[in-house]
Amino acid sequence: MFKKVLASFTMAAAAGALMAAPVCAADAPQTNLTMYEAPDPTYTITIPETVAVSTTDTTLVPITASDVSNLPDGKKISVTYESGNGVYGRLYLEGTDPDDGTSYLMTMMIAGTAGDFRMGALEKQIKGMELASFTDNGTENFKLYPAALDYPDGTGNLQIHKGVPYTGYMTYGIAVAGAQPSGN
Amino acid sequence: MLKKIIRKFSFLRSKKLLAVVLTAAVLAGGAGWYCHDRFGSAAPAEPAQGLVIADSTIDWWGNSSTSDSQHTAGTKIPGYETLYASHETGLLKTNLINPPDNACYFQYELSLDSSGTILSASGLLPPGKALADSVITDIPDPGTYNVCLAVNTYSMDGSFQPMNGARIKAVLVVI
Repeated sequence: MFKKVLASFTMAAAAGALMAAPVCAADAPQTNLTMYEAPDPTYTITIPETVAVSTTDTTLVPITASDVSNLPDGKKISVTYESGNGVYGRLYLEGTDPDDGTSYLMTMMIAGTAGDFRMGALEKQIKGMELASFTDNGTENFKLYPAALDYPDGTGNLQIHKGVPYTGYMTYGIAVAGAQPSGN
Repeated sequence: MLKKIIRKFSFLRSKKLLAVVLTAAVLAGGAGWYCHDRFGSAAPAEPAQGLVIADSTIDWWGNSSTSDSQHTAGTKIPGYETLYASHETGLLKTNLINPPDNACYFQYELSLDSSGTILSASGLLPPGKALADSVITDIPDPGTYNVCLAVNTYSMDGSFQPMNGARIKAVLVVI
């Protein structure tokens, strides 16, 4: 008998709750809470392992951006010239004559997204120069040529010496930056 | 009387044994020294400039489309915007990787932008690997810091020649 009474009460309570629920939902004011933080941008920048610099012409050096995602509006991936072998903010290729052991260096002229060629040093700094920028996947080229091309009658380090293997390296700066042109 | 003789005899035996062991040790040491001197040059070449191959790495085969299908000639540098580290353990929680397509070692060096203080420097990381337990030795207080993540690259031909590298501007969040 007691069990039957208990069961009846339970059923009645459940039915009441079902009927009351929509009334409560409709009446009670509520605030929906949401939260979202945009994921970090992801990307891969591919820089050339080696670049064979032309001794007679301008060399195009490709920089590639791939797997670009979550880049916020108004932002870009900026690839800059950070450093390399050379002093006074210049980029040198260095070489030694295998016959007589004489050391030579050749200053490189560089042009990035701004378009003008620079040699480095003082007001013509190349450190921080933007070489390529991306808002999506793609490839851009920056330009290099040996300063000797500007001095056809140059001697010493203003001349490319035949038979001398010149080498050097570059370090690139990579950052997500504002979409305005950056660098010098 | 008999006991005394036995004791003396066993004492002499243990002394002889000791002498034999010492002689064997000296001979073994000498042989080892000779072999090291004689055959030491046959050992594999160590990386120059104090660089060592990172021993705490995990496989990383990437999750990007370019990893499998489109091979782009050159060195792939992954972008990092935010790095996370635990102040309690000093562990960097972000995996620093060397994409599998690369043909060079990576060496990561994390430094504070403001002072240039180096927080962490990894060993040489082969392609297809990620640093597993990168520890920041002198971790700053919890907070957010502008950092520079230098990616130094070295050839894999045994000469460990420096190659073109990159410096990534990022933010370090110490929790």
